[in-house]
Amino acid sequence: MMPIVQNFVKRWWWLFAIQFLVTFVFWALPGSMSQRIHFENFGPIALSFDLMRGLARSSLALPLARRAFARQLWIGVIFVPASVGSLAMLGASVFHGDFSPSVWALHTLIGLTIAGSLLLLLTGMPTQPSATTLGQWRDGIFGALWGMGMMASMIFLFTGSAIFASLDDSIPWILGILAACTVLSYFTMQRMVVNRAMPPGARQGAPVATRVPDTESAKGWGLWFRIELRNQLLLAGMVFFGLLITRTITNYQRMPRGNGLEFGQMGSFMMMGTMMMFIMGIMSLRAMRSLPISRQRLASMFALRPVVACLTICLSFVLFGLVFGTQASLTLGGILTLFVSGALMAIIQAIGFRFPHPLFVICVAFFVGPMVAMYEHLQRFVTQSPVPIICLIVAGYLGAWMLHFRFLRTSSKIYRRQTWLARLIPTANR
Amino acid sequence: MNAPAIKIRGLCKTFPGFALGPLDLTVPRGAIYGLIGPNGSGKSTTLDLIFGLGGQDAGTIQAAGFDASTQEVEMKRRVTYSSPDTMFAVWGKVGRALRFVKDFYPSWDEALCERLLDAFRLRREEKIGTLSFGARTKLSLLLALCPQPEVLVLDEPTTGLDPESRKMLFEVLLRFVADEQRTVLISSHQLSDLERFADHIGVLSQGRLICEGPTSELVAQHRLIEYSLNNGGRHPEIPGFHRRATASGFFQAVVDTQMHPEATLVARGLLVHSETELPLEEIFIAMTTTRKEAA
Repeated sequence: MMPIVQNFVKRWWWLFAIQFLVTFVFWALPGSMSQRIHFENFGPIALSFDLMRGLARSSLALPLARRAFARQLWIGVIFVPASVGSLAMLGASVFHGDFSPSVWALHTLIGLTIAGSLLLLLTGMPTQPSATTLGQWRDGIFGALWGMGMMASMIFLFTGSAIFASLDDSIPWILGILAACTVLSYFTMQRMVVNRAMPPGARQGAPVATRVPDTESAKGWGLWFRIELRNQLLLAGMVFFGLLITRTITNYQRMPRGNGLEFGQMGSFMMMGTMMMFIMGIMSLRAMRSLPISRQRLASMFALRPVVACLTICLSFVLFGLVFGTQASLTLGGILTLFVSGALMAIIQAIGFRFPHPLFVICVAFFVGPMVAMYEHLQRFVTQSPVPIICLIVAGYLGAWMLHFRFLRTSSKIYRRQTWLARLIPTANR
Repeated sequence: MNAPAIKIRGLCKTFPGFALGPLDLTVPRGAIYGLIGPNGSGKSTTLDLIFGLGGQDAGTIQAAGFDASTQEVEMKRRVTYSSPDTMFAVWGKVGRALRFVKDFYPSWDEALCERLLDAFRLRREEKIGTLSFGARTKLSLLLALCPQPEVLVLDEPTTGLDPESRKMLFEVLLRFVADEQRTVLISSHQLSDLERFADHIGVLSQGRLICEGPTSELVAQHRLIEYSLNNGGRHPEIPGFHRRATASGFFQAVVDTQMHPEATLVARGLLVHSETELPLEEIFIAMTTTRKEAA
């Protein structure tokens, strides 16, 4: 009787199937007490893709009250992933033989509030660039929080056990805040849906024409390097900010800090950085290709970007380590691993260029796990000899270059407009 | 230099459910060449392949005298492209996109750039992300025009433009080709515009070039005839004879009168009652509909 919920599940059943499988596997792993991972963020992620594809505008034309539509969507986005996660946790706990109703209930509640809190962030996400400084700050904060929320799985991977194990005085507070966000999301949902359905000029917070003097003088490649530098600084800022938040959380929870947490974060940031480079690369690809720039140069440029992003992340870790005394990121292993990861990420990016699809985004997300695991092994190799690692980096980069070059030359698909991607870019005609 | 501005030979490209070519296309220098065809006929694919936006399965492309695959940088310095799918949003502001692109073209005309910015009502400090679709099309056109290319390739340049801007665009194009060495290859669905401004027309249907020639000749040689059948006469199923729906008791067809003069039709058992001139749009519909039905 809830057509919007049914439709939401029908369209995203495969994503929820993945959620079930992954949650089950993580919870059923030996030593699951340290593997309390949540994937309830899949619900808001699915909705964000739906909104990019114009769900709100097309659905509000249906003979269904706006309130009913918003309510059903809210139920679908929060309760479906929470139920799937809960079932997976239940199954895995029984399989593992350590089922505890209180643990299960607590984590079901955590899952529910994760989805709800992320949904609240989604309702505040900008849909087009804001013209005012205040608006840009607000957009930046919501965007950063949304990004942080996406990393919630990674954080819960390492903090979930602590939450469960300690159950100290802070837990009710954390859950209370998350629950309040979830309730608030119910009330902001309708406004967001209506706002997303309106033409941009009519949207709340739509930009007004402003005159800001264009004082920059760089052009051509100089300008390109300047934009790249700005992107890298933005990435470095995000990494630094993320590290600061995690450190605050771990301090607050009196968790022992260790390599695992830091390297997990490195993985998350690499994913984020590569995705940033991927999206910007594919957005500009058509324009760049029609300019008098050779394929070789374009391939070099695109293949290098994830490596540079990983270098930025690495330097951010080093800087953070110097400021706050974190040790792990200062090792040679840490630095080289990030380079290996960058080279491998460049390969994945090339494949993403060839098969651009939202599914790729999810594949990259799942690549983070092996990347983190790889670190531990690489760490050992590096202490013996860095030569194989350097070879791996060179081979990775060359492989990425060849793939980029090949796809630039042969594939037509990469130059076609990626509707899902285009919708990530706020423009006035939507 | 009498070499054609664009010379395509044996171009083939296959996608699942679609095959382009083998396509031979010659765009004469100094002309405005209109490439028309129904949706999905391969127009954008053809234009994309000129710029290496995808790899062709077979064939050669030469533009401004340069081979598109082996001399792509030299070629692209002289041949520019504007397409609605090209996004400049990553450069943030209009001014930045201009500064980025201009450095790649030694022949960039800054005065023209200022004039077009003014005419298109674009401001350097505007964010590209907040531009309307029409304004982004104008930006793309501006970026293609200002390098003063020898050949200008435009894919659906009038999409999203208001009538005033459309008129202005064609005025700009006419000024552009006033220098007889400059050429425009334009793909558009605005056939009335093309009929007025294009010197040559090529009709693409289902990946094949089914008709090509100077616009005036193409329009002049096609006529709508009303006819009836003599005893024993049959509707001809021949190229250049596109039958339409029956009206007022007579049969109707769009006929290439050069291929089938009236005498030939009479010999086939047709009684021709009237002959009327047709706009390009009607000729195009007749050609492409018949071909689709035959397929």
